[in-house]
Amino acid sequence: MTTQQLKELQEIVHQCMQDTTIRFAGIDLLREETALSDNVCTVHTTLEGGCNATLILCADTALLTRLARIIMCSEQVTEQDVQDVAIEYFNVVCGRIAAGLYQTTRISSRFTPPRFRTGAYVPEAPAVGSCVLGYSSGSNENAQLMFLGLLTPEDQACPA
Amino acid sequence: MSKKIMVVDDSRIAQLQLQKIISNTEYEVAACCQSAEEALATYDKVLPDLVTMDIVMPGMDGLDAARLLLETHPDAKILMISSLAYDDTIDEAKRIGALGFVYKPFDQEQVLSAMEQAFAPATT
Repeated sequence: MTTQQLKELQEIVHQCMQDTTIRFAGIDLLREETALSDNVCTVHTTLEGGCNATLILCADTALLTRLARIIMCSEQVTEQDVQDVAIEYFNVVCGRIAAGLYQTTRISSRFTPPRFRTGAYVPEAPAVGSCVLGYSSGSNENAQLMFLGLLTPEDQACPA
Repeated sequence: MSKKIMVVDDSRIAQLQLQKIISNTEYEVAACCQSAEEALATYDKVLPDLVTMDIVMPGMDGLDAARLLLETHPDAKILMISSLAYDDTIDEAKRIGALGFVYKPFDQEQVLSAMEQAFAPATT
């Protein structure tokens, strides 16, 4: 993957993340370098098919809890609510990313159902095709979206 | 009499959102299935007027489930509701015989409009 392709990938991922968050919950995430708090949760999935990659969203629990409150229309949400909303939110983000990749590359990809875990889960980033985008909600809630090791069919045919 | 809707989506949140959208309309949620396999097993018991089908689910995906459902029940009405919405999946859904495609995240107007179109008489 070339530097230009990686830049385009970052723009696709960013647009999907920002648009989806506004449409899903009305939260406008700003792209900026951020540090996560000690209280985070992770949702992750694997992109398969034409393109292969690992997608990971690591977010402050406070942000995911606010998402859950908005979606459930209730100030009182359970841990299960937070988990279920985070998974569905990330499911939508990943669907939009797969669609964005298709529009740009005409490569069709699918992703596995997202999985949730409490705490940070960040596998070692491969040397190529990876990007990390930082986000802030403007309310002291941060998130990082990681796209690790994107391999297109061309990359897989020519691993060097 | 309300039209019976069978919601197929592994997400409890999507199920809740659809139930909320459908409440106080001419539709009612007759069953919720969390997987394609459960949907195929449940269809004959419920005989819904319309199935809403997600694509990304554990096990069989929603496109394969729609294909199998329409092979055994050619009159089944299926509306795809998924975030995995691009030319490839939308075209495949049409080829299979799905009557519409709603993109996640959805709103009430999109869902009800797509349902209305699915029940509209076919035009040639």
